[in-house]
Amino acid sequence: MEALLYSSILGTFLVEAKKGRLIEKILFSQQNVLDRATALRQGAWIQEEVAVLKKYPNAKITYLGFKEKENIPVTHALETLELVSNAIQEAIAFPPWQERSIMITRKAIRDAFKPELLIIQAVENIAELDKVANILGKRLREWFGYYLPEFSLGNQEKFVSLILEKSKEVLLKELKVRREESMGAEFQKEDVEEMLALAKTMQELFALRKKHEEYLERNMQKTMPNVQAIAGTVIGAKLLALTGTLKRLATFPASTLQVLGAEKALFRHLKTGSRPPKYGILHEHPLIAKAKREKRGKVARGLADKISIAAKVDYFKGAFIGEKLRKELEKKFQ
Amino acid sequence: MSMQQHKLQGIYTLEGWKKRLLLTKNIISGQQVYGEEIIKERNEEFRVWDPSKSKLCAALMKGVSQIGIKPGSIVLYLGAASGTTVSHVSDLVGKEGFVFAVEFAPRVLRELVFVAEKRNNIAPILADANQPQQYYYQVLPVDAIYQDIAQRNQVEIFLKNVYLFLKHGGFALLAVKARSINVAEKPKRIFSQVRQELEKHLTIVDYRELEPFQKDHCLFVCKKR
Repeated sequence: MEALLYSSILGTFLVEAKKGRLIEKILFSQQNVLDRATALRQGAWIQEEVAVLKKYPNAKITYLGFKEKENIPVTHALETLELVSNAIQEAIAFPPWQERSIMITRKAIRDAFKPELLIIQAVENIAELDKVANILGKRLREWFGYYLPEFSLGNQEKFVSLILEKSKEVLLKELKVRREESMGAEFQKEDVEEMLALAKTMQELFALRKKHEEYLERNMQKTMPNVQAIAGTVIGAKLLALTGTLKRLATFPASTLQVLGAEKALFRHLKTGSRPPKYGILHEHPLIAKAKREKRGKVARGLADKISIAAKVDYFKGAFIGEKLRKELEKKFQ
Repeated sequence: MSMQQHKLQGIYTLEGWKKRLLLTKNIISGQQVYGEEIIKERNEEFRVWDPSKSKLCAALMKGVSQIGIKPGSIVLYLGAASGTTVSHVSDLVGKEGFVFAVEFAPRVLRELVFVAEKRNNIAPILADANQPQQYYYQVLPVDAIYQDIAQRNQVEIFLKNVYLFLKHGGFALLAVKARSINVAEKPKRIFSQVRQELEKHLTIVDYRELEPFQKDHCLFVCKKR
């Protein structure tokens, strides 16, 4: 007898090959289905299939599907799949099929989580906090301008903490401006408080940013110490955010890492033949910032090479060689 | 304004002032999927299909003659994303039909799982469409395949799946994004290369460029011999 062995997410089936008659069916239980689905996806033999093979030792069995180790003939012909799915029609009603699919997919999504995704969230939020602090800062300065325009400071964080710390009197005294000379108006107590509430919120944002940075530092130390050692915490994290996963970062060629973040310039180059970008997000790196203009492209190339090596080591959980790589780089370019 | 049946089964049109809308009949009353507009007429609910969000709708707006997806169809949808177009395909095939929705990115598939839980004709699958062996045991032979994947080897992926899962005489729809095959090449040239590749294996029934709804995209409607 010729027969076809087939497993779906519902169970394992044996179907007679000529007439398409169902010979055997073993349905998966609700508890087993996740296990079986994982095994089938990886191309492993599952116990139900082994049991059927044992039960029919004299049948000429062909397996319908994909298997890693094939000790029996395998097919994926469409006609065969149609024959088999017609034969097992009672067992493959769509409602349970959908329910099982959702179950399997829920687990697959849960399993797809990787710790480096948290690094991406943190580094992106740092960028967002900077944006928000800038917007709020502009408003605060405008607001404060009616109160005491003589006082201003370039550094946002310092400005906020100083106006929270010191009263108008103190600030006026430090600026050596007499109250009558100031262009600032007198505020009611309530008005001052309202304005300073904004400053307080901004201070909290700065504190959160700091906390994120420390978190990033620790997290990178755990997941990608080599990249961190060469690229630095923030640039390393940004590279990760641009590639999406550590695996992608590790498999990209160094030339791609070099221009990550300069996609606009890169595609303009590919389309119109304009000059290619020398570096993307790497331009923030101290080695490049310090280098002479005409040397920057060269430094970026070297830096990207080393980061690429480091990412591969991190992905395969190798030893820590970041320090050595960084020294090599610094020696070469200083 | 009046609701009318489109020449293709399962799709409706609404002629407005200056604008023509395409709609599908909502199989789950009162449920929006992605914030689309819902229009009620005679106890029935219709969901407005936005051609700038869905390539399949854009092709319909451009007057594609046949899509091979109708009430009762079993469809394999590759590149399902968060389920915008999938939800309309789900409306279209109705309760008798079924959609296998394959997507590679867990983040967007999450949204699709929520959509699938409410509609009982979508099976979400987390897998790489380039490796059908990963989901072979989770898909049955289908009447139609629709693919919208922005990958360089999208044609190869398409043909692999057509070979494994599409019934003979079934329809295969391919949305091509020229930019993801080659940024430097002219879209027209890429489209004609894709056409040549497809013609080796399939009969091309219809072809539409999706301007102005989608830039540098086109849709091939093919039939398996």
